[in-house]
Amino acid sequence: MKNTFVRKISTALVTLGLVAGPALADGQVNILTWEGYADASFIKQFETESGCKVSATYVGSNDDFAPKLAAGGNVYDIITPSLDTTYTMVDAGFVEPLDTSKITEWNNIYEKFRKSAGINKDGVTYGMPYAWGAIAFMYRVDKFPTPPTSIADLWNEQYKGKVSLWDDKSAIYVAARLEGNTNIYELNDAQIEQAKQKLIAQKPLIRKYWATAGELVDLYVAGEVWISNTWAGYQSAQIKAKGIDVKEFIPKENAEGWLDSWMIVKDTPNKDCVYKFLNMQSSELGQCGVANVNGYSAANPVAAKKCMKPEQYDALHQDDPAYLDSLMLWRNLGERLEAYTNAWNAVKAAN
Amino acid sequence: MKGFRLDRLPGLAVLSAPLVWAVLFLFIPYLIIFTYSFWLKKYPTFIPAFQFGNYAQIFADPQYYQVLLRTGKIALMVTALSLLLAYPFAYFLVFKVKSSRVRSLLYMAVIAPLWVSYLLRAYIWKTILGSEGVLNSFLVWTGILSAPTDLLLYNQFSMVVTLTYIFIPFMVMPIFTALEKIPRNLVEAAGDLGVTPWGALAKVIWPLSLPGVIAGATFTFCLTFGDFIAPMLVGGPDGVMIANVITSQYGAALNWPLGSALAVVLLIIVLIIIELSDRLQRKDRIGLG
Amino acid sequence: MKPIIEIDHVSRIFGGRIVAVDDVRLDIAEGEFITLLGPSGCGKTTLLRMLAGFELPDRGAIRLDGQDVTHLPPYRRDVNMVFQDYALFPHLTIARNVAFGLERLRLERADITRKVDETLQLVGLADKADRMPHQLSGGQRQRVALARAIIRRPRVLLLDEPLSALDANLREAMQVELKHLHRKLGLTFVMVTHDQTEALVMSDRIVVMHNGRVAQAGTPSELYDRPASTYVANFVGTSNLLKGVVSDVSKSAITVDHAGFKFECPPLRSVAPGQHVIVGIRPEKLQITGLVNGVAPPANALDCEVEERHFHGNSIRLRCRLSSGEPLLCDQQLGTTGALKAAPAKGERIRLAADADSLALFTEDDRA
Repeated sequence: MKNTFVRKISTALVTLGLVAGPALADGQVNILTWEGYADASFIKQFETESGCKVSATYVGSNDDFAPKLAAGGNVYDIITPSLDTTYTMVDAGFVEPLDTSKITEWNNIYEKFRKSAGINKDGVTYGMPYAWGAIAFMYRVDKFPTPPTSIADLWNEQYKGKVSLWDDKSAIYVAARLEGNTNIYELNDAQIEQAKQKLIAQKPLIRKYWATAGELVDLYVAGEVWISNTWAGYQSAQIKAKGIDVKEFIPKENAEGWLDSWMIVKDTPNKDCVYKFLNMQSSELGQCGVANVNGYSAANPVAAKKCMKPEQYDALHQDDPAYLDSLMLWRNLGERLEAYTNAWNAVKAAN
Repeated sequence: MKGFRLDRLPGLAVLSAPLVWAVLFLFIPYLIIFTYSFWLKKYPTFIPAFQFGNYAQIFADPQYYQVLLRTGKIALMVTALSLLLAYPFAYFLVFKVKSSRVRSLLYMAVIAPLWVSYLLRAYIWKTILGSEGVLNSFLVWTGILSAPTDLLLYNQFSMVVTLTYIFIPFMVMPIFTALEKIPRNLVEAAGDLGVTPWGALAKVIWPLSLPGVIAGATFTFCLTFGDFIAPMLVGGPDGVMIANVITSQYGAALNWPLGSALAVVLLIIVLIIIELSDRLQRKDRIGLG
Repeated sequence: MKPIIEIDHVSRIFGGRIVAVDDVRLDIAEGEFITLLGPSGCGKTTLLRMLAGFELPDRGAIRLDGQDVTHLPPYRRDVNMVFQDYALFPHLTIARNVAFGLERLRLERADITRKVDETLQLVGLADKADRMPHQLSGGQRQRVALARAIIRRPRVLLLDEPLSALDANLREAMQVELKHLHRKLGLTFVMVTHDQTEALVMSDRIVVMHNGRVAQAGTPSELYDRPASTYVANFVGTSNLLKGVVSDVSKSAITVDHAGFKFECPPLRSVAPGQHVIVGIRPEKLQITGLVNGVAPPANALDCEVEERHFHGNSIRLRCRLSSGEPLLCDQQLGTTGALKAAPAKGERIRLAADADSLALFTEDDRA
């Protein structure tokens, strides 16, 4: 009821032309997603085969999904929030239940993913797991004679002005781990304050907080940044392709893990194309597509095995469920989200 | 309704078009933002309410007035730097350039970048000021620096430089116009009365161009005060300005009520500045009547 | 007497092509009220601006009280100017406008106040000290401009068309006032105007300018009575100019024939018989001697027919036509009641005569 009211106001705004959106028609699918998830290398084939036109808008953070959907207007048909945000989408009523029977490969997806709390509510499934990975760390090989092994290296005075961190509440997780707090998704106020102070102390060392995948790539390529966190597999490949040798590492304080799932925006008029799209993404085309473009691991190992070379299959830990268990898999923060974002905003606002 | 006549309708429509526009695109959005500012943040989004918690938070939490102060500081620096560059330039154009063709050419050279995308203009400064950028390469090449410096980009300096570059046309235009309006014989009269050119600048030209200076300062200050792109592109970790905080409240924090309260505060600050500048200008303009 | 200003073969050429001032030589005596007179574009304003220092001569030199000031900037010359549209500082009060020229003299505040009061009193604006320029009338602003320019008692006061923006009545009153002020202050005044009446009324000496050159310089009566050229004759006052041929040159007179009429001019020029010349006669110098009769007109007399009559109040102007077809103007004073009735009527053929001394003789060369 409350949300209906928000929606009404938002719709009024849209009607006033304050929020522009593309006109919706059949034979198309509008997605709000991460860079790479709608890469031409595999989307072109889908468009030709299905007759569905794909148009994508990219986000830089999981926190971008809710505001874009709250603005209303039925601009997007499907979204790919990570596991910390999926449940909020369900709670806010932004997404609708998934008809898993329409997805051919459904049962080949890791069971652990299919059953995860983030995409299931009251026995109803709301999301299709797609890709996963770690929030690893990364450094320039030529600038580190001794390879870094700890988060503490991002607080090292020696690298003043060459450090970057993701402009996201994830920064709180990083700082909390450095403080020795491993319950990073259940921090109390004092622990959050501790992490906040730690991040404020780090500010003089920070060159720039990175907001999008592309921005971090640019920062490395322009020689501005030597060490940072990263979406494992993705940016490092792009940076290497531009001639800068970087290496990813999982610090001894461990890394966060993430899983992205496709969710259908409530009342989308493009259901046909949406399910065609989901079937493509869970099949070999989509699974190897994202693995090749982003370097992320696939959620459907069966499909992945068919299209990946054994080395790639191994490198992406597709056969190694223990690796996934070792990562600190993101969780929905619920009402605590505000405390985390507030703290992160305070860090950025601090002098 | 007695006086209403159908044939007056077209005229009425012409007159009311701007009014409708203002109501639709100014009053209603402001009203919506004003309404939101009293709502309550509640997981997963926010709910209607009437309470002053958002305003209280702005004044209680130091992060907000810290950012407001910083925004004011940056805006002042941009205004001062723009004035310092724009005034001599406009003075040179109006009083020293004899050929009117050269004058309009130079004037256009300053105004023309307004037709170039803001993003592109801000982006250029990244390539100039970067660690391996044009300026650093030059400084190292000339031997002024032994190694590239990080001090040029991703801090408040680069923001002030970029914002000055972007908004300086808004300073040049009103000053140029004000200077052009000053009758030449006033400058001659000052010289005739034994006052040196510098004295004439201080005693005649400067006071008479003040309305232009005030208008230009108001433009640059307010435009800078509401900017959020320069901090994103060339600002560093200490570069967050008030508009960025509003953006993040509408975005990441999903706290539209707090974002709206901040927007209302920003709007009030800008309105106060415009009102003050208007009064100052009216006081100054009497002279040229 | 040593001149206060010496203008020594000064030329000013704009843009390398337009000769505004062409080799002007002129001395101005201390305390003199001198007027540069001419139509717009004659170079008078440029010459004045060179005296002030706003323009620099391309050739020649200007000396002020013996000192070469040719290239001195305005603020280092002991001259002050009253600008055509006054150029009052709109952001300063009347008192501060007037005090403006004193600021660099490092006077005591009390001294400045006293001087400003005195000067404002002199121009009759003592009660307007705290007003702003836009609150004053045109005439009052003109007095402020005057006060501002004389407060430093400059060696020379320059006036650029000072009265042109005023309406006719005010202008006449200001002419008298300026003249009084000149006498009272004893300063040298150099005024520029295109208004010949103004020049005649106010000046000790008038310099008529034409195409950047001095056409003639002299006292008002010299210019009026002995114009050096048809240009001056026409610009200062009005003249009838009649073409003729010299028929005889003697010690006592030069005889000129014009379409059957004969003039005997004073022998002030060297001309030869057969030479084409122009005879100038002021309209008011022509006397009506009677109606045309059968007798041939004597020397210096003209027969003509009245075509129009223009009533000027104290005089009447007759527009006549000579039997040769040339037009001729004739002014008759209407000193007594009934004089208007006695004046010739339209269509009447009358005989007019002029005194030999009032005739001016120009050669063709003088036209230039």
